[in-house]
Amino acid sequence: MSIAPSEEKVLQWMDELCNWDRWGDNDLLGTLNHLTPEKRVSAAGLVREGKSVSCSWDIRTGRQPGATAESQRYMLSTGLGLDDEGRKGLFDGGRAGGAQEFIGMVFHGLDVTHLDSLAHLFWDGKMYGGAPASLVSDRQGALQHDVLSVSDGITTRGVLLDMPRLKGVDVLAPDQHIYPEDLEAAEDAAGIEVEPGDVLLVRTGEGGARIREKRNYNANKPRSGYQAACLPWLQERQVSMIGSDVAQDPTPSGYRQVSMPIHMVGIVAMGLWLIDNCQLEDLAATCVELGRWEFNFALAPIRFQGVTGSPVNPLAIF
Amino acid sequence: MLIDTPLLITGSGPAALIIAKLASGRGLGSLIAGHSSSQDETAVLLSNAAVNILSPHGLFDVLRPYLLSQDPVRMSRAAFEQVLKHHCVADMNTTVYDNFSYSPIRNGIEPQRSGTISDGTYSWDINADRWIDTAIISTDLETAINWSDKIVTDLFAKLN
Repeated sequence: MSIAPSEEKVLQWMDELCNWDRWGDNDLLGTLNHLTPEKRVSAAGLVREGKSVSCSWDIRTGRQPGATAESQRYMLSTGLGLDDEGRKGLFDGGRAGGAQEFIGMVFHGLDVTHLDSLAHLFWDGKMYGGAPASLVSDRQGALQHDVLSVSDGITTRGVLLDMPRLKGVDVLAPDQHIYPEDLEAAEDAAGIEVEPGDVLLVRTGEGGARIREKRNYNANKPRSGYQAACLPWLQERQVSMIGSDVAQDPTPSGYRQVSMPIHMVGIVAMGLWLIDNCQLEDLAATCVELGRWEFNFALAPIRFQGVTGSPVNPLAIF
Repeated sequence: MLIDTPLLITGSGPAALIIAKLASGRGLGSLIAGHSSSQDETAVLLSNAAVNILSPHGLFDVLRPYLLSQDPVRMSRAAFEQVLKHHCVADMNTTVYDNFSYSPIRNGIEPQRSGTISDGTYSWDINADRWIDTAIISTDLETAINWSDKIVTDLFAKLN
């Protein structure tokens, strides 16, 4: 049986797994330093079938029953009223029309597929690299570690480890946390190994539940995820980024001070980039169909200046 | 697994969310268990005093797009709770478990700050340094904001 590390040990990892001085002063990339040009070229070779799969959920605009996020849509112009007599008179018969909207959202949370930048979290008043948290302000947003650090996008080898498939269940139970030995068992089952520079995607099956239960799906509940014990494993394997169909950390994590250790130790100490709330059901089905759990991975955040992440549509390309 | 939290908040109504956010703004983590958001779309008035309570913690800013009018400040309880709840979910200091019930372990007259929470399928033992049941607090927005401020102020006075 896997043993959860003590909270004291997890807190020690804040220092022991710290990458602040690893890649020089003012490093903005964190674990993305593991991603080399050679790795990108190699990953491009994984495109064989010419099939692309989205790993993102639809973003639903407007307040909807059951939605945890209240993404807003305000239509500036629409296709309504084009036949109105007054409008026809204004536009020479009213042949031209168009639509545009304002969209507003909080992408952090448990609903929207999003990338966390290294400005998203603080520990003891500091961000990754020791930058003071006060560099993220009301007036200017994030002056350090905003999502523009990865404005050129991320392309590398992606790997899916399908835990429900390994365990023979539809969805992991909330207290069925994912340990390094589970990741290695999934590697063996898939016949692959997580390598330096990879993006590691881990499926818990919660995405399947979200599809089945539609608007009744409740994300505000205990769910599985990477147990904190995975942190040294991720460091050792030199992954560049992780994602999952939950927000990485299991909840409850069992820790009080550092209640989301993958987020806190990962982002602040290690500079680990996270993609929360991926839709991995289509990807898992494609992996089974094609018989391979590695692919070319591509992600480009929106170039938000001073923003602590971005809604994203990660792509797995086979 | 034992859930160990500084502050357990049970019960529905706006106060559960306001208390969690006011506590989080001062660095205290909490677990909101079993909150159900209102569906009441009736416009209600918020006084300057209520707005002033919410403003220092950034709560009024996140509510601003959902106001039905700016002057006077009016919004519905449904919008207030749904928006604030999402911000609780996204708050690193706050955990939200919907559709959960809390059963305190009773020892004599006073309920202890330990017990179990359950969604009907799974259950967890829970220990909380403090437990606030918002079922006894009015769901009237103005009253809930004032009471929540008082509760959190008292809470931190005891902590200090």
